[in-house]
Amino acid sequence: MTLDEKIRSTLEGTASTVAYVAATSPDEIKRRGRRRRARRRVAWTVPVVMIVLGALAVTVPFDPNPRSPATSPDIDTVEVADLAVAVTDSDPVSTDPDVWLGLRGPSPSFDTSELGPDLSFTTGEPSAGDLDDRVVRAVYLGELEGEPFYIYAAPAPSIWDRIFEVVYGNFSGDVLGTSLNCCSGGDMDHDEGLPGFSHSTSSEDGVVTSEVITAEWLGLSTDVSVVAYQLEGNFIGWQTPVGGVASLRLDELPEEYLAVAFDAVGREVQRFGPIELEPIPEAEQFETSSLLEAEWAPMSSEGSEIQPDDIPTDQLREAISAQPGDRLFLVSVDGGQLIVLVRGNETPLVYSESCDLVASADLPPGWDSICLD
Amino acid sequence: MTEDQVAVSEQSFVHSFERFYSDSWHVVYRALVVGIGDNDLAREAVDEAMVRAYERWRTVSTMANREGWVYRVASNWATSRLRRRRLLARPQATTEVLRDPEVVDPRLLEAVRRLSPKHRDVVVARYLLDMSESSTAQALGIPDGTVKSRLSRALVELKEALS
Repeated sequence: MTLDEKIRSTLEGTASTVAYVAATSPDEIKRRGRRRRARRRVAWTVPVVMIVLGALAVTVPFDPNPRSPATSPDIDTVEVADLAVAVTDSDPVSTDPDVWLGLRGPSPSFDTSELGPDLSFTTGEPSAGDLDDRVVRAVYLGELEGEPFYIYAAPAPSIWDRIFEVVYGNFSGDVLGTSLNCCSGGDMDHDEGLPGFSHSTSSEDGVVTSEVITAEWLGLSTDVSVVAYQLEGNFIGWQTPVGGVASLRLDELPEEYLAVAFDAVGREVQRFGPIELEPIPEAEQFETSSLLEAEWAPMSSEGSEIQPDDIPTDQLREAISAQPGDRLFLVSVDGGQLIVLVRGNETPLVYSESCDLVASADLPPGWDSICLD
Repeated sequence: MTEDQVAVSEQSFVHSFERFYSDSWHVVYRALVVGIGDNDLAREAVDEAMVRAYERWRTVSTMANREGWVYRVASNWATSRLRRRRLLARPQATTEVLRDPEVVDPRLLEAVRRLSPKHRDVVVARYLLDMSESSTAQALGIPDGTVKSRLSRALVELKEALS
């Protein structure tokens, strides 16, 4: 029996033994669908109500590229993996690695009781032992849930991670991380500083031993006083950002969320959402950490950036169809070379003429590939 | 459009969903049980995917591979739910059935269930749902070349599992 026949036989044989169950009534499915549609309409009305309640409410258009937060010229900032972070002083409070203190946003002078509990960073002191050896610079933001909290930069561990950073418009080659984003000093699954969610896990022998789900918003303007998250229609709490960073720990990923930033007098300065989260392909959300011990490796010298004319064959050149703004990397792997196409901030696509070569390459989790044979 | 025409159009909208639902529910359910090995979760996932299909039926009904779309949504939802339950590394078969070892290779079945969801979806679509390469690509919303490469990688893993 060939492998193909074996797979077919095994899957069909297993399917044939699946016990019959009566399908849920279609009326029930339709009822749930109608209710869901109604709920979505309600969710969209919530921000409108809030704007009406605040006489001076202003909605600032969504900025798609907020890596550099708006700060007044007299505020010091430091670059952490290309993200400008507002700090109390341009001189670090400690060195090796350099650590600064994050600048806290202004305290709110308006009533925050509708937004849930205050989940802000509390004041604390950075300590030399808090950070992993690989961290090259960090900003201490305070304590969260009793733990010291930093935003930090560390070198990208491999050519793959470096390409990953390019995808996010980070040309320093360092990866950006925050304390809650991983269990062992891992990197962050952020999207250019936009509010979003990350899910990090650590595992032993394939069994998940700890899990962290975080709602984070980076690159906030220094006049932001309150960041509030509304999950599935309810505000779950608020936080005053430090260094333009807000970070909330969640019990589970929400199906729908809205993030709103207010200034000190309660004027809305930025919002994101409401967004309905579709289930994310498991590999993309489950394996976000690239800094776990087992995966750490020195920066590979096996990759280089190339121009479209350097693509080795016409067939590949045609398949890739490079466009202005695309970046291409030639990466050596056992048995040959792959070409990685980075287009905007889309997931990189890996090209090869040989399906066997792509199949044998150890691509980063969640990356897709295209082969031609 | 008159009120009568609107009513007829709404009726045919509902009927076309009901037809699709009765034709496809069990097909997707079985495929999910095979892939994830958890009957209860598969049932929840298919229901969730069907709710979403109904919500978006005006769009989904025009798709060339509606069943494939529902399978993809259900598979993604089930995977996400598995992760939330922290059971990813330990998929649980809620119904253990004696299977003919001539037909079902337990090592292979286990290996299929251990594939990453992306790879497993391609294998299930191609071998169990009997979708062509392009139909699989449509269902999963990926290029044909990606189907090829995912399948190729999956087969390498399955071959290794059997060796």
